[in-house]
Amino acid sequence: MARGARLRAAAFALVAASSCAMLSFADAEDFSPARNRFGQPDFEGIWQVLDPAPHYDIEPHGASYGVPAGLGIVIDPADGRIPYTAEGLAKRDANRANPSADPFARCYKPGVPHLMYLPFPFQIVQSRNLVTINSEYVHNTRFIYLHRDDHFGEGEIDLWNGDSVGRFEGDSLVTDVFNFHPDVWLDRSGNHAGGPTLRVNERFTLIDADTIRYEATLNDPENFTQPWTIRVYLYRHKDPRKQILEYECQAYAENSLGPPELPEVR
Amino acid sequence: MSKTLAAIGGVLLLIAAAESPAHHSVWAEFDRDRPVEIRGRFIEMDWVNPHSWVHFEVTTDDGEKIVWAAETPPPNQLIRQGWRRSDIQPGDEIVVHGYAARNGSLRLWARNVAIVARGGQALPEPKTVLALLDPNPEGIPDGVLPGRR
Amino acid sequence: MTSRAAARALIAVSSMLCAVLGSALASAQDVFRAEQPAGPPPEPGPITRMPDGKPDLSGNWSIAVSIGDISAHIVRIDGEPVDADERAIPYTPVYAQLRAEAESRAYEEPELHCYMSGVPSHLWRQAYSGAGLIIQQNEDYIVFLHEFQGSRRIVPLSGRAHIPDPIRLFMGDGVGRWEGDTLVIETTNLTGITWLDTDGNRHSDRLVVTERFTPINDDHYSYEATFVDPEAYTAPWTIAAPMTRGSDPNAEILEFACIEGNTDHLHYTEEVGGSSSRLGPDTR
Repeated sequence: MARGARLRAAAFALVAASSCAMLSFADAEDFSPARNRFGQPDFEGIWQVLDPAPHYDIEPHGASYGVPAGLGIVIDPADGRIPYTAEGLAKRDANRANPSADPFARCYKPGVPHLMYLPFPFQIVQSRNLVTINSEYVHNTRFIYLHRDDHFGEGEIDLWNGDSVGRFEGDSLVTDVFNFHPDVWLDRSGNHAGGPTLRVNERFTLIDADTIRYEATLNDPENFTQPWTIRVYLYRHKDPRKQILEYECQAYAENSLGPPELPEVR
Repeated sequence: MSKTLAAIGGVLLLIAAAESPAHHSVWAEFDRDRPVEIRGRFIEMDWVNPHSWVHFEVTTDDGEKIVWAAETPPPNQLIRQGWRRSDIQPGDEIVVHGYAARNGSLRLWARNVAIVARGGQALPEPKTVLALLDPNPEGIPDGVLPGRR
Repeated sequence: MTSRAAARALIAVSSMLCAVLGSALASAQDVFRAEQPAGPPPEPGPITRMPDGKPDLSGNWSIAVSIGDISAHIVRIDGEPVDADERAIPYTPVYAQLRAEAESRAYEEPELHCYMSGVPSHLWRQAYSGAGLIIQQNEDYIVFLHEFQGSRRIVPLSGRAHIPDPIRLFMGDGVGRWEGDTLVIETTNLTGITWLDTDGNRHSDRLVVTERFTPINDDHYSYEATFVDPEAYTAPWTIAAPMTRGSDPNAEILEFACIEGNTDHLHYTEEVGGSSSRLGPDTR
């Protein structure tokens, strides 16, 4: 190719790349969400991911019976793979070999961030010092406290959802989550992130009135060689009849407690 | 008296049933008419919801070692009362007051747990880590979760 | 002073501190609640309001109803006031018998199986974890959050119709509306699994609960709940209790994992409805 053409091609590529980069965030920068009575950006409503795939496996994967294919939700590192340490990988492999250890299969708490991309809706409610994420799945509620920025000491308490503190940065809600239970999985495929050394930082940003871009960065030198980030989009339920119902998982098992056998009374 | 209770060495005091914990039927599982006080050596603790467990080894009069488990409120409540995981160490001599299990197993519902000796040395004063009658030994204000850094 | 008298004194102190009316099960855990009202009734005063003028119940609260025995708080049966010695739930014969069998059916207590506590008793279960009730409110919803079993209700304030009958929910389908400054919540679609207290007072899945939250001043509301259930009760009956704002506006509740570590149900003997054999080995 002639030098001039190469230069023009390069320039075009540069402009195109810049435009693409700008486009991916121009949506958020252009949109200014409504504010609630506390002056907070208003995230209230009933939300849910559309993509069913990450709940099964957050890494890129092909379909299998009952499992849809997914491009993966890991955006950093660029190859979309979870940057496990050798220890972390061994644990992942042990999880995979033992599906009965899957907390989701036992109706346990899915934890954070898995709760955010479950195939169940959740309702966000905001008050002065508290943002709650109320999932339909086994009545899980995340409490994100806004009045403090500290946590329990490392290893002092094991919480499946972690202990979440948050603040509003511009139009975004950012959180810091610590004090995780060791047995938390990230999906149905044995990917895991939990334990006392894990720290998760989330960012919720409304890119338009009905869409939240959700990102979570996970940091745990015991299990990962670097901090890494996932991203999913949460969509507002528009059906005015939509409400959070119940999925009380363990209540549907064969030997679970049901309504009583009534006594016979003459 | 069941064989298990009879086998316990250490002090066995009768304490009037002073209160009932007001959550799901503890008395269906434990016997409020069989209060116990047992002394033993702390092994480990399961800091788990909905109830934590204190595992401790008791030496009977015959020199037999048996392991008891004391059931407590959940970590959420223990932490609010000021109990930290690091407060109790394997080998600590503890005294547990509580109520024996109805099904005769080596479990009790704990009302009070105190450390009386560490490393073979008696503490000048027992250190109470759980006291369901004393709501706030460290004067922690209602609702504040202490110890966060 | 004998140890028994000392114990009674301790109970008396605990009872005063938590002001659980008429409860035989005054509990040391009750002292973890926000202070309960004692003395003269609260004086009317201004209240926090939403931008649309409606009362704003957001915050931390404590409702002084006994966890053990809800009937101690009955104020009306079939619309008529009752005296202290008439406070008995007007059961149908079948549900009276069910109540009488409570001890042998202890295994059927839903909290033992990590189920939510139902309506309305989930509001006052706080003494177990020493944590209270948190209410969040916006113009469209009121949300009741409780630490014990993570019991939670999201109630729309739109007065909309209830959900279809075949759907049964542990926390029912609650719908709220305003009558002046009183918040009225009607709850239907319950299950017959939840209990009203730990003594074993129960209801069927036909229960309709109507609650009324009426402000007195910003720290005191009055709370009432009326129970209508043609299968369980021969007449509607109503309880009333004071509702008091907590002293710490930043009081928190935590996640309550339950099935993740629950073994109690394995230890219930047959005489209380379980299957753990008496004098059997430890079934941890």
